[in-house]
Amino acid sequence: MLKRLLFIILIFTTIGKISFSTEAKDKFTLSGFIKDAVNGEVLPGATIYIKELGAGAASNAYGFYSISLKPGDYNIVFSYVGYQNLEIKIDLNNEKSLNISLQPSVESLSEIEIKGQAANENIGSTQMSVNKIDNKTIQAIPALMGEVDLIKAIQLLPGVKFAAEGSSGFSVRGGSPDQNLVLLDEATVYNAGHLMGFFSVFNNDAVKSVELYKGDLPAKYGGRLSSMVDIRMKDGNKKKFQGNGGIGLISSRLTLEGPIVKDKSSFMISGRRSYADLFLRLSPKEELKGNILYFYDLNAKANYSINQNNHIFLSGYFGKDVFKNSNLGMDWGNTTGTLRWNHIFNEKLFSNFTFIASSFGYKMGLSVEESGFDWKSQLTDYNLKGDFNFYLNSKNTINFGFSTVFHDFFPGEIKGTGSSAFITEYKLPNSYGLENGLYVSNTQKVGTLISLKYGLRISMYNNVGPNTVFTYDAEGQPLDSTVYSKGDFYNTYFGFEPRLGAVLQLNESSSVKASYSRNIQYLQQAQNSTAGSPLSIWFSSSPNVKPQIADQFALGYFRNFKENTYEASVEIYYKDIKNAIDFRDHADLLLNKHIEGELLIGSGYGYGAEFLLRKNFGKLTGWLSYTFSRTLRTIEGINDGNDYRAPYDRPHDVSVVANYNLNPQISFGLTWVYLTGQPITFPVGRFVYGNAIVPFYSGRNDYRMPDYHRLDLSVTWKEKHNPSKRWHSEVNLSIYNAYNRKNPWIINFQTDPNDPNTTYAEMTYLFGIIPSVTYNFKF
Amino acid sequence: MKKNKLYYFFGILLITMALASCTERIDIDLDSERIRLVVEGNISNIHAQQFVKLTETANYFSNAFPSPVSNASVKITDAEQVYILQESEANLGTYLFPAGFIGQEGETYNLFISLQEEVGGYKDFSAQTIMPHKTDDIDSISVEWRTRFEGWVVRLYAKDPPIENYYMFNGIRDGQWITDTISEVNISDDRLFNGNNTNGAIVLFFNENQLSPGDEFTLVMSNITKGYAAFVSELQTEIQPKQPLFSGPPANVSSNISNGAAGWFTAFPSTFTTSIVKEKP
Repeated sequence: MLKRLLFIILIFTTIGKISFSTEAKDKFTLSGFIKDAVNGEVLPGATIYIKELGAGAASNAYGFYSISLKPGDYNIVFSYVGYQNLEIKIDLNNEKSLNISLQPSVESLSEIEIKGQAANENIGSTQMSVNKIDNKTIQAIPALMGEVDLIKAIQLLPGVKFAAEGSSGFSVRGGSPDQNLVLLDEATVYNAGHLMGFFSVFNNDAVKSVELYKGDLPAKYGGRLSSMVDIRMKDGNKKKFQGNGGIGLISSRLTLEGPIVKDKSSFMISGRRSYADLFLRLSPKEELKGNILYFYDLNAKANYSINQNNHIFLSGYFGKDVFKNSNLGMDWGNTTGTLRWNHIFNEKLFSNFTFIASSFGYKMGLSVEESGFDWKSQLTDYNLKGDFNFYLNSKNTINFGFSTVFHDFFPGEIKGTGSSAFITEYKLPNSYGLENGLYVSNTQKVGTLISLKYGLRISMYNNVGPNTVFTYDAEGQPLDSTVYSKGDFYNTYFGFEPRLGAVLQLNESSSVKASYSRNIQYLQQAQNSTAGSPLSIWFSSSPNVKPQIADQFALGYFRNFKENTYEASVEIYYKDIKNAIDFRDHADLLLNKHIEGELLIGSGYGYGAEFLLRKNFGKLTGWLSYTFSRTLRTIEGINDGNDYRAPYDRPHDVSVVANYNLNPQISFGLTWVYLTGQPITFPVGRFVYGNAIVPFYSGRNDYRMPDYHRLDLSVTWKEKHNPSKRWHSEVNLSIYNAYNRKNPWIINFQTDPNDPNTTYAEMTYLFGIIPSVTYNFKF
Repeated sequence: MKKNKLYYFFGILLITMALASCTERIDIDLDSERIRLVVEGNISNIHAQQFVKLTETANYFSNAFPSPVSNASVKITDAEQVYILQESEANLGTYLFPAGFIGQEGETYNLFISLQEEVGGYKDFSAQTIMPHKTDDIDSISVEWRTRFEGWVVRLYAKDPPIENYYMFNGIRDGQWITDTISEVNISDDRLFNGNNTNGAIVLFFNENQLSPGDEFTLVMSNITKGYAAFVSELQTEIQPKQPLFSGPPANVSSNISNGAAGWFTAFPSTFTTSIVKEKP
């Protein structure tokens, strides 16, 4: 496998050299990095626009760009949202390396300065079903208890819904939360929630950019059906030392960044810790006082530019939730580490090699005087990737590469502790898997109006021994087992995942796009609840579990108005899912050796239309989105084999996000969301058994909860800008659920304790109106 | 260790959330479902624990006693014999075993019900169960006060045989059954102590008012079938309030009665162990 890969890489690098030498005479390449002039951070997705040709290109994820042109004089405009355009006159008569630094636009001038001359990248790009949000936009959205949260911002985008109120799980185009690939500096984050999911693990201060791909993933990525969230950490200021932080009701944050060697090397370190348990200590309830409950996050990153052609990045994330009281101790968290090496072979061939280690685990210990138990579970990944951008000529950009991941699943072990432990050790055996991907794709311009994107990803999953594999009968009871020894590749799946797209540019400000993509998912979460808990485990495809396959077709119309101040889009999609997984009624998913017997396999489909109107510049910024969508499943063994609504089938979804800068000191934020009520199963009958009233249910998800809606408001007051002062601060006041809507979180049916013949419905709602205040500073 | 118990511990974790959450009653319109037969049938080695009870399902908010199904013909058969059950005159819908009949370990029993009028579209119903063997290697039990839980716990010292076993635990205080609703009995498999000493595992839990020091407490340990263990545990799950972080979607409890009837027909031997409730420390 590796030999073959090396061979392919070699071929491409050779092609790079050949084409470079044959083309050398009539065309030259202009290449380099685009950076922020103030802090030296690279700018991914910045646009390069050649006035004479009316055409352009964009920088890659590491800020690198490359464009081949005939010799001559050109006026080239470099631009990036939130930065001042830079126009450069170039006399191109040889290979040229040109690094560009863009100045951030001063906010008060933003209305005048920013004319999105080349900011219509959303129109011309072949990529559809994608949304970008930068760190400033996320910051401006009113947040629950003042905790700025990028996952909550993603949940406001068209086609995205929260899994449950306040949850950091989300559903993209009707898919379940485990169908989202969440990457932090390319490392998979398996559980993005803190505090039972109410806050995400991403500290916004450490984040540079967030991109969400809804089903139409670049060929480089795979392994999940619904979406990919690409989160990049800040590299660290290369020019000067700086810090920022904040003090909030839930947590405090501090970020430090600066050069190690000026312009060559920098670092960023960012920490956050919550202190909710301090409030518990103030509680009048005795049983709450002894509780310890907190989470922390630590993000760290360092980079070093060896020379123009070699850059090294090292980044890591460590996060944990800790809960302790006199009987129970429990902690869970993610750890990721990423080592990257950007190497530029030549002006046309950019490469990035990445080694990633990522793990998610939980530990729980219970001790009740002399007896107790310890319970552990962990998933660890080791991933090696090579990605290449080959700028063949001004019409073709070829991306290719490979990825190989070794998964180590340790689903759970429980051990008795203490002198009179009654639990003997119970361990679910480790299992291992190897997930490989090989891809190539080309983005091709055909004439001036049409661009095509065509790529293929070949993915493969191997189950690797040692393991014991059971076969199951129709009821999920184990029948027989086979033992495989260490190193046995006892089961292999592989699949072709085509990723196709086309854009027809109607004019400067409008285009029509279409795409088709297939995604295959080999890993899924054993999660039966709607809200997502830290105790879930991940399990892989196996002889009993076929990989899930999704085919998505999408069509969109994109239009910008008023010199790209407004972006409008409509996208429709249809999605078909094969081998969709659900669980048997009353499935036992914790510490179960025969978890595969609890699975039911069927199919699913979904469709929808997403409308978005976004305003990027001016005093008022934000977006308005409306989504209509349906998502249904058919699985033998659930709902008598009839179609049923998937848990995330919520047809109408409206999000309003607005930020208004009254003046340089004061800004207001507003969000309003509306969602059709969550599908739910209600009792339609009852019977008595053993003196208890037992419910008899409707078909799966036949009913809906009341519709969900909520308004959040915020106001931010910034200190007047004083260039002689280094310390800048701001105060943010926010109100969650401003009109105190009681949105049911759960509806329970209960027997009246005073009258054993009476049953009633009771709803629980989580958050009433919650005001909060946060103080942020920068130095 | 059943998952219900684990959820109890997570309950502690959820206290923090309870600080923010609120509950209130709401009105909900529910459709009505067709009426079905409900069977509760038990065979035991103790005569008093044996009966077959027939009732009907009702609309969820019907808020009345379930209607008994009277005048049915109810029979039990084993490998050799047929036993006819007689409806109790005091408790309509409850059918009693002939005097002298008790269940035998390892025996397979069939239940046949024939109604005067159709319920849920059928007149005839049947079910089958086996009576498991008894595990009676019990050393002792102990009933102690636990300050931390603010309640009484019943600890069991016994040896679990190496085969897969399912247990049901009930409690009797001075001759009165205190686990008189199915939500109070405890169901356990032996996943976590298979083939070992139970070492004082907690098998029942009572609140302060249910027991007092000096009471004579009897633990009733019954060996039940895997199917009945699953049925009771499903039933207990559906009776408890749901909670989005841990509960799966609601689902009907299973049944081993034919023709769409709800309920379960089961057989179990019980062992009785008595101890005096200890003084509070």
